[in-house]
Amino acid sequence: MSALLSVENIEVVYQRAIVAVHDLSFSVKAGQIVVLLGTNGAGKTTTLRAISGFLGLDDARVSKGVISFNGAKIENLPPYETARRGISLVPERDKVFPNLTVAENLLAPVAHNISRSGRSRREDVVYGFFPRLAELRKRVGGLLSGGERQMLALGCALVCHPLLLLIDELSLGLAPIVLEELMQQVVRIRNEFGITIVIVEQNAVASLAVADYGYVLENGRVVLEGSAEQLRSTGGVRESYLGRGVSGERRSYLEIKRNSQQDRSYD
Amino acid sequence: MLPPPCGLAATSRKSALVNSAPLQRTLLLQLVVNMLVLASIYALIACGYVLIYRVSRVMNLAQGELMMLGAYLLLTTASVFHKNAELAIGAAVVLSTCCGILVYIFLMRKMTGESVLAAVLATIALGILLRGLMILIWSAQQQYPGQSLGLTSTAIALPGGARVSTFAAALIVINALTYASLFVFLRFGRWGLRMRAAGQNPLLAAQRGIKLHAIYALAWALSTMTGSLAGMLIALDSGLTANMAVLGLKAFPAALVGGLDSLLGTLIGAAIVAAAEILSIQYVDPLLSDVMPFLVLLAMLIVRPWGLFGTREDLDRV
Amino acid sequence: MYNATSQSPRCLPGEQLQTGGWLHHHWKYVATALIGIGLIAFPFIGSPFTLDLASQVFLASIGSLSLMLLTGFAGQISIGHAGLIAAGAYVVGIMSREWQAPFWLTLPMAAVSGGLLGMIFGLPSLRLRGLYLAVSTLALHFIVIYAGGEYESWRGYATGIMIDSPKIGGMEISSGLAWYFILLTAALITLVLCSNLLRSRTGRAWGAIRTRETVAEALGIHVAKFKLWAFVISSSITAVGGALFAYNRNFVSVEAFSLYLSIQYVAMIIIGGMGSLLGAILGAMFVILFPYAIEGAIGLLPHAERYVNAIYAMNYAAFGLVTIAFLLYEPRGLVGIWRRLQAGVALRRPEPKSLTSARQ
Repeated sequence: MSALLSVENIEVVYQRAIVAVHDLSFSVKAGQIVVLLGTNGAGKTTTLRAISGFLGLDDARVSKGVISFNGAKIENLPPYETARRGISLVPERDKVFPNLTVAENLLAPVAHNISRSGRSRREDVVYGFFPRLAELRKRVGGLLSGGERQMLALGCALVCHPLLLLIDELSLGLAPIVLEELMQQVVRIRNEFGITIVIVEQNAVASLAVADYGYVLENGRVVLEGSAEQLRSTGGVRESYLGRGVSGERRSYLEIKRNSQQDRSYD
Repeated sequence: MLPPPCGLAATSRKSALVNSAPLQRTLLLQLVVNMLVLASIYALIACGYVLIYRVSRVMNLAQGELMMLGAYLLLTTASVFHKNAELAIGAAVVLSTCCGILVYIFLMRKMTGESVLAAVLATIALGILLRGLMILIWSAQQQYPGQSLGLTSTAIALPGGARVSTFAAALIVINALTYASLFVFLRFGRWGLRMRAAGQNPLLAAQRGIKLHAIYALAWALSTMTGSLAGMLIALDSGLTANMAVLGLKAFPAALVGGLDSLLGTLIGAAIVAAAEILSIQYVDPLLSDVMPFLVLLAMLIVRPWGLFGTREDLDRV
Repeated sequence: MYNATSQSPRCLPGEQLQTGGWLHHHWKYVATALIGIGLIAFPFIGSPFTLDLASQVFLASIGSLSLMLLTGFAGQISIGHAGLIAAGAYVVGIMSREWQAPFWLTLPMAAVSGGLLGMIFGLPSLRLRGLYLAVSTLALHFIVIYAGGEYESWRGYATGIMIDSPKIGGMEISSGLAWYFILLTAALITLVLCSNLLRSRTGRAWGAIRTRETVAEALGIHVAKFKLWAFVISSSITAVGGALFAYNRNFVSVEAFSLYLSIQYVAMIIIGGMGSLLGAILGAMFVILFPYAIEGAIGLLPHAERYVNAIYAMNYAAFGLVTIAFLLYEPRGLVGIWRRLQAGVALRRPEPKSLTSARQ
């Protein structure tokens, strides 16, 4: 099975001066759930935005490397172009239109390759997935709670019937129960629609529980990759992201950081 | 300068001589009518400012010249279709809308990605360019497109003794219709929804598949269409001079008073500015007419800069 | 990544250290000296017409330098320059006609009135982000013009206010030569003033505000205060320019101050190159000389007489077109072109191209 999405040696530069991502490569097979792990500033959000497309607001561009999707090169295409080709991004901030109602938020996205009736059926599916949204149809986006907003953002991304769904920091600002529920919905989305999913997360526990494969990013580079089980049991990942030592005891952050440079392999 | 709407001069002379109740009532009614007409002019021009500002945060300072372009295009279509007024006006509207789209494609589109400052500077330069071109193509003389079409401005008598010219009445009606259609379009239309979305968050809109360039072009098209409609009606009513573009600038305070991204606000703002102008002409000093809208603007900036209904936050990137 | 500050060209390994010689390293000083000599010698070799033209360029430079301070460095747009020039001119007109005030009273008063107007129209609009100052200066223009017109009709000056030439030690200053040197000096003073301002703390704050207002705010720069300060200083300088304009013309009238004048100043800084004092001067030169070039070009066309009436319209159109061309294709203006030429001759490194990243 060849990769649906293939990122090869990309370099992303902001304002022509700040290199946010250096020489990053990873690939995603169709139907997989892949997670990109890393702390703040590791370049995860930038990577997702590079795939989805920049709008020139931050003067950002992919200055080196290639991003291939479904056989075509998509680096430096604007977001509405990548959306047309079947990539949907659920952003980290500003996920919904604050002054539009839930129903309007779901109406706004432009769906390609689907008829009007197909589109409204898809909306019903979204309401089926997230019944809470059906109750909030008339509520304005800015007045939704964090979890409701996340649901709406996922729904808006789904309405376009994408081939690839990119989710940035699903866990931010969510209570653990809500997060778990949403993660289950994410798996359900993959299972029922066959949509390939790339998640960017700081919360390794929740994401590794649902992912098939994962990459660990640090300072804009991939430092570790492997299947979800491998990553869950790797010393380095366990310590840095799960807070558990080799024999399961809790370790302090300082200790881990001091030793983290050494553990960059499977043990 | 736009001559005072029909009937004002005569009525004010009369009231100076005889100060009786029915004449006072007539005067007041006439003032109200004049305010309605002027408000409609300002509102129709100003909705152009709002449409473009709302989606792209750009102040289109060439709106006055674009309005004038509509009137001049009517001059040409009038000489081509001189037997058929509807066709002439319709053709002129279509032509000016196309011009608006062309302006977007060839100039403003290239300014996206630059700062709003650069885009506004571009509209200023565009205004000057258009003004020069219009004078070169059509000459600076006063023109009367109504004559070519055989349409004259007659006075309609209203109950209570006030009077309004046919084209001024048409202006009021068309303004109301325009705003009604815009409200419906933005609220219920799918592309109106997308325009609102793009105005709130262009990046998110793009990520949802909305083509921003199409939205901006649509905004420019609608804006030029409404502005040129206003220009045509004014030209039919009282003639077309090369100085008509200053009306475009006078309409800007209406948009600001109401809130640069609110259509409803602009309607109310136009009413306020028009009322201030008409009342100051009548009771203070006729020379104040050109400056009154800007005094209102200054007052609004001091008291509530984002206007009556505008959103408070302000970004400065296109 | 990009290192935009240039020093003398680096040597390739193996080359002699003395490449280019003394001239190559000191061309800036040589050029300045040559320009200085040229400026002083110019009145004696040029005709009275070119003398007046040069004087106009100096006068315009005062306005364009002040606008460059505001727009090019503090990032605010103003379309009220004509209003400020008018204000300075009217101060001179009113004070000299009503009270026979001498120039050493009227000029400072003009500066003060400019500053006051800057305060009145700057304060409400500069509290906010966004281009509210543009709107405010639009109001400034119309209000000042109205006030000037009212004064003229109140006093019964049908065509305008006549002003006597300023007198120094009993000697009247009205010759073209005298005005040439006065305006040259005024322009130089303005240039030095602006240059010093930019190097000061205020100037650096303006630079930060122009690049990223949010970042400047986060850095603790009181953005509103500095923006207002920029507008007040700019308005003050512009009003003094207006005062000199009034003395130069011996005449003040409302008709001289149209919005087109404001737009010309905006064009000067666009064409000259935003963010550069040299750009302000180059822009002033271009805009002042441009109509004459157009006239000359029209004269070359067959049946030139037919176009005589359309000259001012041609000016408008050509002007708008040139400004748009610069905005689209050469956002760094004439200075940008100059720098690229220099890069071609290996005197400087090329710099990134964007209107908002323009720096000195």
